[in-house]
Amino acid sequence: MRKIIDSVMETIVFICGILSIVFVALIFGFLLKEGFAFFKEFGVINFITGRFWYPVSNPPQFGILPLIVGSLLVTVGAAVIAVPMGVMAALYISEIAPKGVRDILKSFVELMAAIPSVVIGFVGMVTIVPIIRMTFNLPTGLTAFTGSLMLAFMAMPTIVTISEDAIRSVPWAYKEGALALGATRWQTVRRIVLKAAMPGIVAAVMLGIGRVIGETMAVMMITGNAAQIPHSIFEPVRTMTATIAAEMGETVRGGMHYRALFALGFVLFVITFIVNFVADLFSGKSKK
Amino acid sequence: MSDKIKVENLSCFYGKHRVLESLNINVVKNEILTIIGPANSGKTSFLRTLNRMNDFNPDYSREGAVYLDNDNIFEMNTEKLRKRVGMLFAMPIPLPMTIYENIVYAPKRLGVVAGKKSDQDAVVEQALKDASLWDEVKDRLDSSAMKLSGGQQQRLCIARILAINPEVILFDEPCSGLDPISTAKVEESMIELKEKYTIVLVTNNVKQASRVGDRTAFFLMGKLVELDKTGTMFVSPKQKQTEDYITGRFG
Repeated sequence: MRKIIDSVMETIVFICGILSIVFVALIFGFLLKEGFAFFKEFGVINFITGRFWYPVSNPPQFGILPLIVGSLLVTVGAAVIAVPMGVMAALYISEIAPKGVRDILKSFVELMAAIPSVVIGFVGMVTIVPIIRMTFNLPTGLTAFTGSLMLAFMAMPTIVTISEDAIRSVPWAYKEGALALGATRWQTVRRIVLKAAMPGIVAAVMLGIGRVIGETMAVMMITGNAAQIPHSIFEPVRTMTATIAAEMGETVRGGMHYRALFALGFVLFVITFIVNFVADLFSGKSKK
Repeated sequence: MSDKIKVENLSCFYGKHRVLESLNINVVKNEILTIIGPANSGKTSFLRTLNRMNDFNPDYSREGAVYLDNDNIFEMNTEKLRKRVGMLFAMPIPLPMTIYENIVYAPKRLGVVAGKKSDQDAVVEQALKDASLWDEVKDRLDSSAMKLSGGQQQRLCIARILAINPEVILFDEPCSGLDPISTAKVEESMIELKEKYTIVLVTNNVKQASRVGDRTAFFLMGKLVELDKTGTMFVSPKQKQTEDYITGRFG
C-alpha cells in the first residue's frame, strides 16, 4: 500500500514539475503554427523590415519595424533610467542603510512590485503625461520617454530585490579582507562587492528588462500608440505588445491580420526568450 | 627595546557583555607576541581592537586607550591605522581576482605604488618573495587566486599585507585551517618577518606559541593572567591557571 502511495505521489509531483515545460512548449507551438502560415505568405524579411503597419488598408501592409523600434526605444529608455537607480538603491539597502531603514525600504520596494500595471499607466497618464508635455513643450505628452519613465518605475522592484540578494550574498570575509588592507568603505564596495556580485546584478537587470519588454497595459496607455518610426524619444511610439492587445479584438479569426498578430507574438516571444536565457546564464554563473 | 604598541586599561564590550577587562599590555618592536587562551577568552576581540576591525559591529564598545608609537589609535583615521596595522584572518580570503591583482589592489588604492607597470611588478615580486610564495606562483600570476591551495592562499594574504608595508601585522589563528606542512611554512615566514615588522599572533595552538613567540600572553575569561618570555612561561609558569592550560589540563 505504502509503495502505491509513494509511486502515485511521485507521478503527481512529476506531472506538476513537467507542466511548466509543457505549457511553454504548447504556447511556442501554437504561436509558431499561426505565425508560420503568415510568414509563408508574407515573408519573414518583409515582416521584420517593413516600415509600415497598415493592417486594414487595401492592400494591407504588415511591416513591424516601427513596432520593434518602439519596443526597443521604450525598453532601452527604461533600462537607462532604472538600472543605475535600481543598483544604487540595492547598494544603499544592503550596504549603507541602518537596519530599521533597510526593513522599511525593502518592504516598500516589494510593495512597488505589487502595483498593477493598469494603475501605473493610469497614474502616469494623469500626472507624468501633462508634466512631460509642458516641460519639453511638446504637442503631446504621450511619448516614448513617458513610457520609459513609467516602465523604469515597474522594473525597479525586480532590479532592486534581485541585485540586493546578490550583493548581500557576497561573503563578509571579502569585505573584511579589503577593509583590513586599509581600503575605504566605498573602495571596498566598488572594487570588491560590486565585482563579486556582478553576475547576480546582470541577471537582475536582464529580468527587469524582460518585464519591461513584455509590459503591455501601461505602455498602451502612455506611449501614444502611433505606429511610426520615431525621430526622437519625445515622439509617440507603439510597442509590439500594445499592438497585439489593441488589435486582437478587432480581427477576423483566421484572417491575415489575425495571423500577423500571432507572428508578432512569436517575434516578441523570441526576444523575451533570449533576454531570459541571458539572465539565466549569468545567474547560473554566480552560483558556481 | 621600545614599545610599539601600548595598551592601557582596555575594556571591551559586546552589548552589556564584557569580553575584555582592564587590560594592560605592551608589544615590543620587532618581537612576536603570541596570545594563547581557551575559546571566549577575548583573544580575537583584543586583536581586532588593535586595528579597529570591531568598529563595524554596532554592539561593540570599549574603554581605555591603545597607543601605536604614542598615537592613540582610537583617534586615528581607520584607513590610515589599518595601513600601519595589517591583519591576517583565520580563513585565507583571497579577493576574487588574479594573484597579481590581489597584491597590487591595496597599494594602488592607498597610493603606495605609482601606476607604472614596472613599479607594480617590483612590489608584487618583493611581497611574494617575503611571504615565501614567489617560487610557487611566479609562472601563473595572472591566474585566479582562488585556485591556490589553502596554505598558498594564506601566504598570498600575507604577501598582500606586506605589499602595503605596514608596521605591525596581526595574525588571527592563521594556521587553524592548514595542514602541518603549510603551517610550518607560515611559521617560517613569520619568524623571518619579525626582522622588519612587529607581530601579534593569536593562536589556539599552544605548541605554535612555544615555537614562534618571543613573549607569550595567557588570556582567560577576558583577563590577562600572565605575560612573560615564552621560554620562561613554558618552563616555569607563575600562575596555576597558566600551567594547567599549557600542560593541557583544560582548554
